Amino acid sequence: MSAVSTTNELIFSATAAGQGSVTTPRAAETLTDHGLLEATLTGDEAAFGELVRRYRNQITNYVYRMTNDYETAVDLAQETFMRVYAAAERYQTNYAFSTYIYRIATNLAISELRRRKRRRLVSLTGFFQGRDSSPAEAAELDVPDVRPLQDATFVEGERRAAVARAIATLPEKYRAPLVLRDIEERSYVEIAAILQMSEGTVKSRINRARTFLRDKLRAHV
Amino acid sequence: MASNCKSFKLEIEESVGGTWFSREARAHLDACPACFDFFESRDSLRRLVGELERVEAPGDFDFRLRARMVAASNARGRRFSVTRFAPGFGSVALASFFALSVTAAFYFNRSPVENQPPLLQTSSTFLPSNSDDRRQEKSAANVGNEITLEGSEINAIRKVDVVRAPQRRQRTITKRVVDHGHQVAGTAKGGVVDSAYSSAPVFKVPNVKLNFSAEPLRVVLRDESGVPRHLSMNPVSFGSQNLVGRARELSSAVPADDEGVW
Repeated sequence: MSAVSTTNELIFSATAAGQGSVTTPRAAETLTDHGLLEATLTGDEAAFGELVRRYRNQITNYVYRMTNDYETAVDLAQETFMRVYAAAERYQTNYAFSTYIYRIATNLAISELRRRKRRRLVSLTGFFQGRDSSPAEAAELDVPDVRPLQDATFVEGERRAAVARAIATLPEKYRAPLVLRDIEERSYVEIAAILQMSEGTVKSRINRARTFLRDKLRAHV
Repeated sequence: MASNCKSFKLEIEESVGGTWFSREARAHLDACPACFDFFESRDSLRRLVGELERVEAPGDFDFRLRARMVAASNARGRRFSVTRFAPGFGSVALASFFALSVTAAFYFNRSPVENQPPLLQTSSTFLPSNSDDRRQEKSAANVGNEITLEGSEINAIRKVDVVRAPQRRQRTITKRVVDHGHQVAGTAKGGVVDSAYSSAPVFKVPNVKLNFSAEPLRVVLRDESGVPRHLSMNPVSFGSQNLVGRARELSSAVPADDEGVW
Protein backbone atom coordinates (compact mmCIF):
# COMPACT_ATOMS: atom_id res chain seq x y z
CA MET A 1 0.00 0.00 0.00
CA SER A 2 2.01 2.91 -1.30
CA ALA A 3 1.59 6.59 -0.64
CA VAL A 4 -1.05 8.44 -2.65
CA SER A 5 -0.87 11.75 -4.43
CA THR A 6 -4.51 12.20 -5.45
CA THR A 7 -7.80 11.26 -3.88
CA ASN A 8 -8.62 9.08 -6.89
CA GLU A 9 -5.87 6.77 -5.81
CA LEU A 10 -7.81 6.05 -2.65
CA ILE A 11 -10.18 3.93 -4.73
CA PHE A 12 -8.96 0.39 -5.21
CA SER A 13 -10.05 0.09 -8.86
CA ALA A 14 -8.49 3.44 -9.81
CA THR A 15 -5.24 2.46 -8.17
CA ALA A 16 -5.21 -0.85 -9.92
CA ALA A 17 -5.88 0.72 -13.29
CA GLY A 18 -3.20 3.32 -12.71
CA GLN A 19 -0.62 0.70 -11.90
CA GLY A 20 -1.51 -1.52 -14.81
CA SER A 21 -2.56 -4.31 -12.52
CA VAL A 22 -2.83 -7.89 -13.58
CA THR A 23 -6.53 -8.18 -12.87
CA THR A 24 -9.12 -5.76 -14.14
CA PRO A 25 -12.14 -5.17 -11.92
CA ARG A 26 -14.38 -7.08 -14.31
CA ALA A 27 -12.04 -10.06 -14.36
CA ALA A 28 -11.78 -9.99 -10.59
CA GLU A 29 -15.51 -10.61 -10.26
CA THR A 30 -15.12 -14.06 -11.78
CA LEU A 31 -12.39 -15.19 -9.44
CA THR A 32 -12.99 -17.18 -6.28
CA ASP A 33 -12.11 -15.77 -2.88
CA HIS A 34 -8.91 -17.79 -2.83
CA GLY A 35 -7.99 -16.56 -6.29
CA LEU A 36 -8.60 -12.97 -5.27
CA LEU A 37 -6.42 -13.33 -2.21
CA GLU A 38 -3.61 -14.89 -4.23
CA ALA A 39 -3.88 -12.03 -6.69
CA THR A 40 -3.73 -9.61 -3.77
CA LEU A 41 -0.48 -11.21 -2.70
CA THR A 42 1.02 -10.34 -6.07
CA GLY A 43 0.16 -6.68 -5.53
CA ASP A 44 -3.14 -6.71 -7.40
CA GLU A 45 -5.16 -4.18 -5.48
CA ALA A 46 -8.21 -4.56 -7.71
CA ALA A 47 -8.48 -8.13 -6.47
CA PHE A 48 -8.43 -6.92 -2.91
CA GLY A 49 -11.02 -4.30 -3.81
CA GLU A 50 -13.27 -7.06 -5.10
CA LEU A 51 -12.87 -8.96 -1.85
CA VAL A 52 -13.86 -5.83 0.04
CA ARG A 53 -16.92 -5.40 -2.14
CA ARG A 54 -18.01 -8.99 -1.58
CA TYR A 55 -17.78 -8.98 2.19
CA ARG A 56 -18.07 -5.39 3.39
CA ASN A 57 -21.83 -5.50 3.94
CA GLN A 58 -21.83 -8.92 5.55
CA ILE A 59 -19.03 -8.06 7.93
CA THR A 60 -20.49 -4.66 8.76
CA ASN A 61 -23.88 -6.20 9.52
CA TYR A 62 -22.37 -8.99 11.58
CA VAL A 63 -20.24 -6.66 13.67
CA TYR A 64 -23.17 -4.28 14.03
CA ARG A 65 -25.31 -7.05 15.49
CA MET A 66 -22.49 -7.96 17.82
CA THR A 67 -21.78 -4.44 19.04
CA ASN A 68 -25.13 -2.71 18.42
CA ASP A 69 -23.22 0.41 17.31
CA TYR A 70 -23.01 1.34 13.64
CA GLU A 71 -19.91 3.54 13.75
CA THR A 72 -18.04 0.94 15.72
CA ALA A 73 -19.23 -1.71 13.32
CA VAL A 74 -17.90 0.20 10.29
CA ASP A 75 -14.63 0.87 12.07
CA LEU A 76 -14.15 -2.77 13.04
CA ALA A 77 -15.15 -3.96 9.57
CA GLN A 78 -12.43 -1.79 8.08
CA GLU A 79 -9.99 -3.07 10.66
CA THR A 80 -10.97 -6.59 9.62
CA PHE A 81 -10.05 -5.91 6.00
CA MET A 82 -6.82 -4.26 7.02
CA ARG A 83 -5.84 -7.37 8.94
CA VAL A 84 -6.79 -9.58 6.03
CA TYR A 85 -4.54 -7.51 3.79
CA ALA A 86 -1.67 -7.43 6.28
CA ALA A 87 -1.86 -11.17 6.97
CA ALA A 88 -2.57 -12.30 3.43
CA GLU A 89 0.74 -14.14 3.29
CA ARG A 90 -0.18 -16.23 6.31
CA TYR A 91 -3.60 -17.19 4.99
CA GLN A 92 -4.07 -20.94 4.69
CA THR A 93 -6.48 -22.34 2.16
CA ASN A 94 -7.65 -25.11 4.50
CA TYR A 95 -10.65 -23.01 5.45
CA ALA A 96 -13.06 -21.05 3.35
CA PHE A 97 -12.19 -17.39 3.08
CA SER A 98 -15.55 -16.48 4.59
CA THR A 99 -14.67 -18.51 7.68
CA TYR A 100 -11.33 -16.75 7.89
CA ILE A 101 -12.73 -13.24 7.62
CA TYR A 102 -15.62 -13.95 9.99
CA ARG A 103 -13.15 -15.27 12.54
CA ILE A 104 -11.14 -12.05 12.39
CA ALA A 105 -14.31 -9.97 12.68
CA THR A 106 -15.51 -12.06 15.61
CA ASN A 107 -12.25 -11.63 17.48
CA LEU A 108 -12.32 -7.88 16.91
CA ALA A 109 -15.94 -7.62 18.02
CA ILE A 110 -15.33 -9.63 21.15
CA SER A 111 -12.28 -7.52 21.96
CA GLU A 112 -14.42 -4.41 21.57
CA LEU A 113 -17.10 -5.83 23.87
CA ARG A 114 -14.50 -6.63 26.51
CA ARG A 115 -12.98 -3.18 26.15
CA ARG A 116 -16.41 -1.68 26.70
CA LYS A 117 -16.88 -3.80 29.75
CA ARG A 118 -13.64 -2.44 31.22
CA ARG A 119 -14.56 1.12 30.31
CA ARG A 120 -18.03 0.88 31.75
CA LEU A 121 -18.55 3.36 34.50
CA VAL A 122 -21.13 3.24 37.19
CA SER A 123 -24.41 3.67 35.39
CA LEU A 124 -27.25 5.59 36.94
CA THR A 125 -29.59 2.95 35.58
CA GLY A 126 -27.88 0.38 37.80
CA PHE A 127 -29.39 2.03 40.87
CA PHE A 128 -32.86 1.27 39.63
CA GLN A 129 -32.25 -2.40 38.99
CA GLY A 130 -32.19 -5.33 41.33
CA ARG A 131 -29.01 -6.72 42.79
CA ASP A 132 -29.62 -10.11 41.21
CA SER A 133 -29.56 -8.81 37.66
CA SER A 134 -26.62 -9.82 35.52
CA PRO A 135 -23.89 -7.29 34.62
CA ALA A 136 -25.01 -7.30 31.02
CA GLU A 137 -28.52 -6.42 32.07
CA ALA A 138 -27.28 -3.77 34.45
CA ALA A 139 -25.97 -1.71 31.58
CA GLU A 140 -29.35 -1.42 29.95
CA LEU A 141 -32.48 0.16 31.17
CA ASP A 142 -34.76 -2.46 29.75
CA VAL A 143 -38.15 -1.59 31.09
CA PRO A 144 -40.76 -3.46 29.08
CA ASP A 145 -43.54 -1.28 27.84
CA VAL A 146 -46.63 -3.43 27.36
CA ARG A 147 -48.94 -0.66 26.29
CA PRO A 148 -50.19 -1.00 22.72
CA LEU A 149 -49.01 1.69 20.35
CA GLN A 150 -51.19 3.28 17.72
CA ASP A 151 -48.90 3.42 14.77
CA ALA A 152 -48.15 0.01 13.30
CA THR A 153 -44.90 1.23 11.78
CA PHE A 154 -43.82 2.55 15.08
CA VAL A 155 -44.71 -0.77 16.68
CA GLU A 156 -42.60 -2.58 14.16
CA GLY A 157 -39.66 -0.28 14.81
CA GLU A 158 -40.07 -0.66 18.52
CA ARG A 159 -40.10 -4.43 18.23
CA ARG A 160 -36.95 -4.47 16.15
CA ALA A 161 -35.24 -2.18 18.60
CA ALA A 162 -36.27 -4.45 21.45
CA VAL A 163 -34.89 -7.48 19.62
CA ALA A 164 -31.62 -5.67 18.89
CA ARG A 165 -31.32 -4.65 22.52
CA ALA A 166 -32.06 -8.16 23.66
CA ILE A 167 -29.36 -9.57 21.41
CA ALA A 168 -26.95 -6.94 22.62
CA THR A 169 -27.52 -7.96 26.22
CA LEU A 170 -26.67 -11.60 25.57
CA PRO A 171 -23.31 -12.76 26.87
CA GLU A 172 -20.76 -12.69 24.09
CA LYS A 173 -20.27 -16.44 24.07
CA TYR A 174 -23.96 -16.88 23.24
CA ARG A 175 -24.30 -13.81 21.07
CA ALA A 176 -21.78 -14.72 18.41
CA PRO A 177 -23.20 -18.17 17.59
CA LEU A 178 -26.75 -16.85 17.59
CA VAL A 179 -25.96 -13.97 15.24
CA LEU A 180 -23.97 -16.21 12.94
CA ARG A 181 -26.76 -18.75 12.84
CA ASP A 182 -30.00 -16.77 12.84
CA ILE A 183 -28.88 -13.54 11.18
CA GLU A 184 -25.93 -14.49 8.99
CA GLU A 185 -27.44 -17.96 8.36
CA ARG A 186 -24.14 -19.80 8.58
CA SER A 187 -24.06 -23.56 8.95
CA TYR A 188 -23.15 -25.22 12.22
CA VAL A 189 -19.93 -26.53 10.70
CA GLU A 190 -18.93 -23.08 9.56
CA ILE A 191 -19.81 -21.52 12.91
CA ALA A 192 -17.74 -24.15 14.66
CA ALA A 193 -14.80 -23.29 12.41
CA ILE A 194 -15.23 -19.55 12.94
CA LEU A 195 -15.50 -19.77 16.70
CA GLN A 196 -12.98 -22.59 16.92
CA MET A 197 -15.13 -24.88 19.00
CA SER A 198 -16.90 -28.17 18.47
CA GLU A 199 -20.15 -28.43 16.61
CA GLY A 200 -21.88 -29.77 19.70
CA THR A 201 -20.80 -26.75 21.70
CA VAL A 202 -22.11 -24.48 18.99
CA LYS A 203 -25.52 -26.16 19.03
CA SER A 204 -25.66 -26.03 22.80
CA ARG A 205 -24.80 -22.35 22.91
CA ILE A 206 -27.31 -21.46 20.23
CA ASN A 207 -29.99 -23.35 22.16
CA ARG A 208 -29.10 -21.45 25.35
CA ALA A 209 -29.02 -18.16 23.48
CA ARG A 210 -32.48 -18.71 22.05
CA THR A 211 -33.82 -19.60 25.48
CA PHE A 212 -32.35 -16.37 26.92
CA LEU A 213 -33.74 -14.40 24.03
CA ARG A 214 -37.18 -15.88 24.36
CA ASP A 215 -37.25 -14.93 28.03
CA LYS A 216 -36.24 -11.37 27.21
CA LEU A 217 -38.72 -11.03 24.35
CA ARG A 218 -41.61 -12.74 26.02
CA ALA A 219 -43.82 -9.76 25.26
CA HIS A 220 -43.11 -10.02 21.54
CA VAL A 221 -42.93 -13.75 20.95
CA MET B 1 -42.82 -40.42 23.66
CA ALA B 2 -40.52 -38.28 25.76
CA SER B 3 -37.42 -39.52 23.96
CA ASN B 4 -39.17 -38.89 20.66
CA CYS B 5 -40.00 -35.34 21.76
CA LYS B 6 -36.34 -34.72 22.61
CA SER B 7 -35.13 -35.88 19.24
CA PHE B 8 -37.80 -33.89 17.42
CA LYS B 9 -36.98 -30.78 19.42
CA LEU B 10 -33.37 -31.17 18.37
CA GLU B 11 -34.53 -31.39 14.78
CA ILE B 12 -36.68 -28.29 15.21
CA GLU B 13 -33.77 -26.47 16.80
CA GLU B 14 -31.39 -27.30 14.00
CA SER B 15 -33.75 -26.73 11.12
CA VAL B 16 -32.98 -23.78 8.90
CA GLY B 17 -35.87 -21.35 8.92
CA GLY B 18 -38.28 -24.02 10.08
CA THR B 19 -39.02 -25.02 6.54
CA TRP B 20 -37.43 -28.40 6.39
CA PHE B 21 -38.73 -31.27 8.46
CA SER B 22 -38.80 -34.98 8.00
CA ARG B 23 -42.13 -36.69 7.45
CA GLU B 24 -41.96 -38.21 10.94
CA ALA B 25 -41.30 -34.81 12.48
CA ARG B 26 -44.32 -33.28 10.78
CA ALA B 27 -46.50 -36.12 11.96
CA HIS B 28 -45.17 -35.71 15.48
CA LEU B 29 -45.84 -31.98 15.47
CA ASP B 30 -49.45 -32.63 14.52
CA ALA B 31 -49.83 -35.14 17.32
CA CYS B 32 -47.80 -33.51 20.15
CA PRO B 33 -49.04 -30.10 21.37
CA ALA B 34 -45.93 -29.52 23.54
CA CYS B 35 -43.62 -29.99 20.61
CA PHE B 36 -45.91 -27.84 18.48
CA ASP B 37 -45.74 -25.03 21.04
CA PHE B 38 -41.97 -25.37 21.12
CA PHE B 39 -41.89 -25.18 17.34
CA GLU B 40 -44.15 -22.12 17.36
CA SER B 41 -42.04 -20.25 19.88
CA ARG B 42 -38.82 -21.07 18.11
CA ASP B 43 -40.25 -20.18 14.76
CA SER B 44 -41.58 -16.83 15.93
CA LEU B 45 -38.29 -16.05 17.62
CA ARG B 46 -36.41 -16.95 14.48
CA ARG B 47 -38.67 -14.73 12.41
CA LEU B 48 -38.27 -11.93 14.92
CA VAL B 49 -34.50 -12.10 14.75
CA GLY B 50 -34.50 -12.68 11.01
CA GLU B 51 -36.66 -9.64 10.41
CA LEU B 52 -34.00 -7.36 11.74
CA GLU B 53 -33.03 -5.09 8.89
CA ARG B 54 -29.56 -5.66 7.56
CA VAL B 55 -27.25 -2.73 7.77
CA GLU B 56 -24.87 -2.00 4.94
CA ALA B 57 -21.46 -0.50 4.78
CA PRO B 58 -21.41 3.24 4.04
CA GLY B 59 -20.79 4.43 0.51
CA ASP B 60 -17.31 5.67 1.25
CA PHE B 61 -16.27 2.43 2.90
CA ASP B 62 -13.64 1.61 0.26
CA PHE B 63 -12.36 5.15 0.24
CA ARG B 64 -11.93 5.26 3.99
CA LEU B 65 -10.44 1.81 4.09
CA ARG B 66 -7.86 2.72 1.48
CA ALA B 67 -7.02 5.93 3.36
CA ARG B 68 -6.54 4.00 6.57
CA MET B 69 -4.30 1.47 4.88
CA VAL B 70 -2.18 4.22 3.36
CA ALA B 71 -1.95 6.01 6.72
CA ALA B 72 -0.95 2.79 8.45
CA SER B 73 1.66 2.11 5.80
CA ASN B 74 3.12 5.61 6.14
CA ALA B 75 3.18 5.33 9.92
CA ARG B 76 5.00 2.03 9.64
CA GLY B 77 7.53 3.60 7.30
CA ARG B 78 8.16 6.50 9.67
CA ARG B 79 8.64 4.16 12.56
CA PHE B 80 11.25 2.20 10.71
CA SER B 81 13.00 5.27 9.33
CA VAL B 82 13.90 6.52 12.79
CA THR B 83 16.50 3.84 13.29
CA ARG B 84 17.25 3.24 9.66
CA PHE B 85 18.24 6.79 8.78
CA ALA B 86 19.64 8.01 12.07
CA PRO B 87 23.12 9.28 11.09
CA GLY B 88 25.78 7.16 12.68
CA PHE B 89 23.43 5.76 15.28
CA GLY B 90 25.35 2.51 15.58
CA SER B 91 28.75 4.20 15.47
CA VAL B 92 27.80 6.65 18.20
CA ALA B 93 26.53 3.86 20.39
CA LEU B 94 29.69 1.82 19.83
CA ALA B 95 31.96 4.80 20.54
CA SER B 96 30.05 5.61 23.70
CA PHE B 97 30.36 2.05 24.90
CA PHE B 98 34.10 2.01 24.13
CA ALA B 99 34.70 5.30 25.96
CA LEU B 100 32.75 4.08 28.94
CA SER B 101 34.71 0.83 29.03
CA VAL B 102 38.07 2.62 28.85
CA THR B 103 37.07 5.01 31.61
CA ALA B 104 35.92 2.20 33.83
CA ALA B 105 39.08 0.17 33.20
CA PHE B 106 41.29 3.18 33.95
CA TYR B 107 39.41 3.93 37.11
CA PHE B 108 39.55 0.42 38.50
CA ASN B 109 43.13 -0.28 37.47
CA ARG B 110 44.64 2.70 39.25
CA SER B 111 47.11 2.01 42.09
CA PRO B 112 45.26 0.74 45.11
CA VAL B 113 47.56 2.82 47.38
CA GLU B 114 46.46 5.96 45.63
CA ASN B 115 42.97 5.13 44.81
CA GLN B 116 41.60 2.69 47.28
CA PRO B 117 42.51 3.10 50.91
CA PRO B 118 43.54 -0.25 52.33
CA LEU B 119 42.52 -1.45 55.69
CA LEU B 120 46.04 -1.10 56.99
CA GLN B 121 48.01 1.66 55.40
CA THR B 122 51.65 1.78 56.29
CA SER B 123 53.91 4.71 55.94
CA SER B 124 57.32 5.41 57.27
CA THR B 125 58.69 8.61 58.52
CA PHE B 126 62.40 8.87 58.42
CA LEU B 127 63.81 11.01 61.11
CA PRO B 128 67.23 12.44 61.33
CA SER B 129 69.06 11.28 64.39
CA ASN B 130 69.42 14.02 66.89
CA SER B 131 71.81 12.39 69.23
CA ASP B 132 75.07 10.54 68.72
CA ASP B 133 73.97 8.04 71.34
CA ARG B 134 71.23 6.99 69.07
CA ARG B 135 73.74 6.06 66.43
CA GLN B 136 75.59 3.64 68.61
CA GLU B 137 73.42 0.77 67.66
CA LYS B 138 74.72 -0.69 64.42
CA SER B 139 72.71 -3.74 63.66
CA ALA B 140 69.52 -5.43 64.50
CA ALA B 141 68.69 -9.07 64.61
CA ASN B 142 65.47 -10.78 65.42
CA VAL B 143 65.74 -13.22 68.24
CA GLY B 144 62.44 -14.73 69.02
CA ASN B 145 60.18 -11.82 69.33
CA GLU B 146 62.85 -9.35 70.21
CA ILE B 147 64.67 -7.06 67.90
CA THR B 148 68.33 -6.85 68.82
CA LEU B 149 70.01 -3.80 67.44
CA GLU B 150 73.64 -4.35 66.79
CA GLY B 151 75.71 -1.97 64.78
CA SER B 152 72.86 -0.36 63.07
CA GLU B 153 70.71 2.53 63.78
CA ILE B 154 67.07 2.82 64.04
CA ASN B 155 66.42 5.27 61.36
CA ALA B 156 62.77 5.52 61.14
CA ILE B 157 59.58 5.62 63.00
CA ARG B 158 56.89 3.88 61.21
CA LYS B 159 53.43 5.19 61.47
CA VAL B 160 50.84 2.53 61.27
CA ASP B 161 47.65 3.97 60.05
CA VAL B 162 44.68 1.85 60.85
CA VAL B 163 41.82 2.89 58.74
CA ARG B 164 38.43 2.12 60.01
CA ALA B 165 35.35 2.13 57.88
CA PRO B 166 37.14 2.58 54.60
CA GLN B 167 33.90 3.10 52.70
CA ARG B 168 33.08 6.17 54.73
CA ARG B 169 35.15 8.93 56.16
CA GLN B 170 38.61 7.71 56.91
CA ARG B 171 39.55 7.80 60.52
CA THR B 172 43.19 7.25 61.17
CA ILE B 173 44.78 5.89 64.27
CA THR B 174 48.50 6.32 64.34
CA LYS B 175 50.76 4.05 66.27
CA ARG B 176 54.39 4.58 66.53
CA VAL B 177 56.63 1.63 66.62
CA VAL B 178 60.26 1.23 66.06
CA ASP B 179 61.00 0.35 62.51
CA HIS B 180 64.11 -1.23 61.18
CA GLY B 181 64.16 -1.71 57.50
CA HIS B 182 60.68 -2.83 56.55
CA GLN B 183 60.04 -5.39 59.19
CA VAL B 184 59.18 -5.11 62.84
CA ALA B 185 58.75 -8.39 64.58
CA GLY B 186 59.65 -7.94 68.16
CA THR B 187 61.08 -5.75 70.80
CA ALA B 188 63.76 -3.31 69.92
CA LYS B 189 66.59 -3.58 72.31
CA GLY B 190 68.60 -0.44 72.63
CA GLY B 191 66.71 1.30 69.91
CA VAL B 192 66.44 4.98 69.67
CA VAL B 193 63.00 6.37 69.48
CA ASP B 194 61.87 9.86 68.99
CA SER B 195 58.64 10.21 70.84
CA ALA B 196 57.54 13.15 68.81
CA TYR B 197 55.83 13.09 65.48
CA SER B 198 57.92 14.11 62.61
CA SER B 199 57.06 16.67 60.09
CA ALA B 200 59.31 15.02 57.57
CA PRO B 201 57.77 13.92 54.31
CA VAL B 202 56.05 10.57 54.41
CA PHE B 203 57.30 7.91 52.07
CA LYS B 204 54.91 5.23 51.19
CA VAL B 205 56.24 1.72 51.28
CA PRO B 206 54.81 -0.12 48.35
CA ASN B 207 54.94 -3.67 49.65
CA VAL B 208 55.30 -4.11 53.34
CA LYS B 209 55.40 -7.65 54.48
CA LEU B 210 53.96 -7.96 57.93
CA ASN B 211 55.24 -10.90 59.87
CA PHE B 212 52.57 -12.23 62.04
CA SER B 213 53.30 -13.65 65.42
CA ALA B 214 50.95 -14.74 68.09
CA GLU B 215 53.36 -13.69 70.79
CA PRO B 216 53.17 -10.23 72.33
CA LEU B 217 55.40 -7.60 70.88
CA ARG B 218 57.94 -6.21 73.31
CA VAL B 219 59.45 -2.88 72.68
CA VAL B 220 62.16 -1.14 74.65
CA LEU B 221 62.01 2.57 74.38
CA ARG B 222 64.43 5.08 75.75
CA ASP B 223 63.58 8.63 76.32
CA GLU B 224 65.98 11.51 75.97
CA SER B 225 67.44 10.95 79.41
CA GLY B 226 68.18 7.33 78.54
CA VAL B 227 65.69 5.72 80.84
CA PRO B 228 64.36 2.56 79.22
CA ARG B 229 60.74 1.73 79.09
CA HIS B 230 59.57 -1.78 78.36
CA LEU B 231 56.36 -2.05 76.52
CA SER B 232 54.47 -5.14 75.55
CA MET B 233 51.78 -5.25 72.98
CA ASN B 234 49.51 -8.16 72.24
CA PRO B 235 49.00 -8.65 68.56
CA VAL B 236 45.36 -7.78 68.66
CA SER B 237 43.76 -7.25 65.35
CA PHE B 238 40.18 -6.22 65.02
CA GLY B 239 38.08 -9.06 63.81
CA SER B 240 40.87 -11.61 63.83
CA GLN B 241 41.04 -12.66 67.47
CA ASN B 242 40.01 -16.18 66.58
CA LEU B 243 42.76 -16.37 64.05
CA VAL B 244 45.26 -15.18 66.62
CA GLY B 245 44.05 -17.75 69.12
CA ARG B 246 44.38 -20.57 66.65
CA ALA B 247 47.84 -19.39 65.74
CA ARG B 248 48.81 -19.47 69.39
CA GLU B 249 47.57 -23.00 69.82
CA LEU B 250 49.39 -24.19 66.76
CA SER B 251 52.65 -22.60 67.74
CA SER B 252 52.31 -23.83 71.36
CA ALA B 253 53.88 -20.65 72.45
CA VAL B 254 54.00 -19.03 75.86
CA PRO B 255 50.57 -18.13 77.24
CA ALA B 256 49.43 -14.70 76.35
CA ASP B 257 50.68 -11.89 78.40
CA ASP B 258 48.02 -9.37 78.96
CA GLU B 259 50.32 -6.84 80.40
CA GLY B 260 51.33 -3.87 78.46
CA VAL B 261 48.39 -3.68 76.19
CA TRP B 262 47.75 -0.12 75.20
